[in-house]
Amino acid sequence: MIKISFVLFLCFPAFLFANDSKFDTEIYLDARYTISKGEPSWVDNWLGKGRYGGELDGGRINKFRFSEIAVLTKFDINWDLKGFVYLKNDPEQGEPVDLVEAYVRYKPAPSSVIAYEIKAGLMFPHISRENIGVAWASPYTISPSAINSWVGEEIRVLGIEMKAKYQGDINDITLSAAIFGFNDPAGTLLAYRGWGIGDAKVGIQGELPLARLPSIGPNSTFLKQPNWVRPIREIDERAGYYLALDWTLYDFAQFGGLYYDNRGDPKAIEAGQYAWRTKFFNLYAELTLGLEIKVIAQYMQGSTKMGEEIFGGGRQVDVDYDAGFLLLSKQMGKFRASIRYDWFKVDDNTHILIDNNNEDGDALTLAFLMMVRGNASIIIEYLNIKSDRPAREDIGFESYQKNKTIQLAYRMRI
Amino acid sequence: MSRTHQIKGLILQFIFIVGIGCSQVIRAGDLSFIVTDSKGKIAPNAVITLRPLIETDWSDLPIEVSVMKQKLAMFTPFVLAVRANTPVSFPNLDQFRHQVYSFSKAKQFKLRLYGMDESKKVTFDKAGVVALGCNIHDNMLAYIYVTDNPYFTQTNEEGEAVLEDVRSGEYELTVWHPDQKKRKVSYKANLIVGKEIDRHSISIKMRSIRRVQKLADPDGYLG
Repeated sequence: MIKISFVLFLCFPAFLFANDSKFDTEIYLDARYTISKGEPSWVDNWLGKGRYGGELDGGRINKFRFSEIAVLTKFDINWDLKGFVYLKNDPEQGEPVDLVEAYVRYKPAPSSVIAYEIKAGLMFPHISRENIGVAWASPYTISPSAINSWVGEEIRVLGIEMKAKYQGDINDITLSAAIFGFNDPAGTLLAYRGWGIGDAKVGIQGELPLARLPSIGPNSTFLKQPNWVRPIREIDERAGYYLALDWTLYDFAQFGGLYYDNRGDPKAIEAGQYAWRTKFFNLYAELTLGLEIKVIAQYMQGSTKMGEEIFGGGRQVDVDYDAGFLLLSKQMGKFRASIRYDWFKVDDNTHILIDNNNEDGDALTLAFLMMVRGNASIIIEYLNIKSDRPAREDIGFESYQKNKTIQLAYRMRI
Repeated sequence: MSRTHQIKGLILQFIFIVGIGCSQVIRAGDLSFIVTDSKGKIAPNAVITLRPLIETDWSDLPIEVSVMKQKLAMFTPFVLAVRANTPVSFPNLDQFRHQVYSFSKAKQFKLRLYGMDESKKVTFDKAGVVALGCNIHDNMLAYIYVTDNPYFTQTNEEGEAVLEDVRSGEYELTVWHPDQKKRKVSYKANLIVGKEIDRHSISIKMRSIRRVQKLADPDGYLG
């Protein structure tokens, strides 16, 4: 709660001085029926790839679940300065309330061909092309792609972002730059769990479990890493940054890239959490074709390192990773059908036997959404993730696993 | 949202074809137009103006207030043609705020409209193209075409437009469209009104993709 109070304290003083203010709060609910099978989920300290997995023997679990309740508040401090606060509760989080985003945004009406914008607070860097809905939900599927699932799980920045947007005749070009802190442990999941495909989001107090691998945890002599990670945390007092370029051609084609570097000091450790040096770039292309068909592609490539230097110049934990997806979606009135293919990979640059973080996998997602009365939707999703991860053998599973999930979600805004 | 407002080179002038299909009976002094692109596809929202080639006193032509509404986070109409010095009212018929702006050379302004029928007026005193946006709703886009000329009209959804009771005389005809291609050879096409009154088919060169004002994003974070 201390962290939440701190961030809200940063955002709210401006509000107190506003005489032209307006509040707009809505509640978001997500309830589901899930059928899942395969290895148990990473959320339960195993190495299953989905938010929901099967029994220990891989058997099927059928369950009604509540997945998220969120309170989202927008407030106009004045005509040019606005704020946004997103609080949530989900069964995976430890605290009853957690903060996903809280920022203020200064966006004066442009007086020339270049428009400026400044955003400050706790926020997602604009990486995901899928999570464009309220409560960072995707209108295409229940489970975001591997890339954007990871963004939801570990990437959040507390910082300042500046944007300059050139509004041309047929083109818009936006340049963004941000300086941030509080994202030092990001990368931990990609090393110890690898990629995942699920829509559980971390909040500022969030603590995510790691499998009971021999290289980590209380019995490990190799690292001081416990079986959990708190991704939104400052450890080394070093600021990170990201830079992005986005190009919109008319309204039908969008392309862009973002480069992120948390500038973590890989040796820094505080309260059992390392500052991982995590860098990546993300590229995307999005086309809106005729017949209300949308095509979205994203590709991410990066590295993360932590611990002491070892022979050959690497670090104790030192991996490269990449992932991509191609999504096709078609709107048909109040219905939307989507299909997505994901592929993902982690390359361990060290050859330490007890810490093999290699991984290779792909996934197919099919989803069908129906709008109900404008403020609610029902989505059914089939997700099939296949992956090979040798570290599974350390915890008694076969290296190659399939996770299959069918989910029926009811999402509502009040 | 794409918009710029360099007017230079944007106004194209076109040859019109006189006397095509005179099957309809049109009063003397009335002109009708149909505008298409070079592939024959109809072009709504084209603005047609007539500039008199002989100086005449037009001061008795009335100037009426025009309206650019904001409803469901969209501007209506998408293109509005007005004579210079016309006041345009901007009623916000939504329950929420709009911040209408333009940084076009012909008119720069910012309007803060709380909604619930609040309306403010802007007088457009200089000829040119004014692109409108809303600082709160990025989807919102519209154009105000300001002309010094006494006669102007714009094409409807069928690409058709009419000018009634045009005084006899010689005029220069121009056509402007938000999706016209820039820097094309322009024509100075003269038209004599009062003689062979007729129907004009005009073909203009347009970009293959036409700009539209998108619907508001229902999930928009900062509405």
